[in-house]
Amino acid sequence: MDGYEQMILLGIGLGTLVRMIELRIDYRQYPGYPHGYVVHSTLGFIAAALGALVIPALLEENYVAVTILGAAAQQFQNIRTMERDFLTEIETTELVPRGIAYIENIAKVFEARNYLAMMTAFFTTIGYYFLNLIGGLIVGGLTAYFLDKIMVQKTVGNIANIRVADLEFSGPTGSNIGVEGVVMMNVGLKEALEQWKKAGIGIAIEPKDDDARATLANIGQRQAIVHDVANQLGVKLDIGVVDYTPLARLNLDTGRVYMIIIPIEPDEECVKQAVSSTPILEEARRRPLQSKAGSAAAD
Amino acid sequence: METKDLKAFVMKKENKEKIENGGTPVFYASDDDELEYIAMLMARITDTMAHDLGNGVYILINH
Repeated sequence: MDGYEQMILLGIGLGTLVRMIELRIDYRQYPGYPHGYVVHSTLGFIAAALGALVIPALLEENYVAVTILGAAAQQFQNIRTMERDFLTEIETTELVPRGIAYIENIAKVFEARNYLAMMTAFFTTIGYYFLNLIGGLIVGGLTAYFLDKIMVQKTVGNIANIRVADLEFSGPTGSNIGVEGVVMMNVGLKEALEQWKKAGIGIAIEPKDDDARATLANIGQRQAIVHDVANQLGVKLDIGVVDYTPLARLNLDTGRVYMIIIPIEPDEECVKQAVSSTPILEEARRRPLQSKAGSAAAD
Repeated sequence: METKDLKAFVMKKENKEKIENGGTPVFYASDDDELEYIAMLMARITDTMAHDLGNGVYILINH
């Protein structure tokens, strides 16, 4: 395949670069692991190589190669399985588990980002073929930019208003902890109750519409919020000490989600910020308002 | 949903008639301090959560 070196190298280079930019460490600290970096950069490189080889193979009329490339692309489904298995394995070592839905979401994102690298490489080679080197770079860059924009996930802050709420202690001995009338937890130990009174923070998440309400009601989505907050602000938990477990519960009448937590950093604004930046899980998203029955019943 | 396991009752002897026991261990304490202490210790050891039913009976539940 003489004469295609530049085209292929450009596609692979740009695709891999895009994948590596996507690997930036964010607050979830995942994949903040050096070995995870190597794994995903390498897979990104392979994906980019597959994408970059399609056009040269077609130009050479080597259809067998094209078919094999298609089969090879199937292998990237394994990335999702790999991520899911890994995160599920370490789930038992998390003080506040991510929950299955969050894991599934993360695994899907990782799979999708390899396709991003593949598509970028593919369009780079197309751009190179029809235009020139600079054209290839521009087309590839635009592809990466648009796909990245499409893949941005909404956050809780986009679909709900978040505010700090006071904890209420009800019941004959004041041991029922709740927020705005919703009892969430009964704590028997006085020591634990004192801690909740001193450092406990309540958060009210008000869905902006019925779609948001249905989304926030999802158990996986709520667990993701709790996990993210605990991950960013710390949580007072250890093996055998379960009295300070953070919880997120629903008000069935209003659809509001209330959350209670004792963070290590008792800063209410930061808790709000953490809740607000939690991604909306694809799996949890509901749109009842898009349906006839749902929208008719909403008013 | 995972099952929740009732591990034990902790209470003062004077509240004895509050439960009709069907196989779950009951621990009696002589005063409030001991009640709190036993409940705390047992919760930590058995990895359970102590709940106060409000009538002097504490239950230990594995969530």
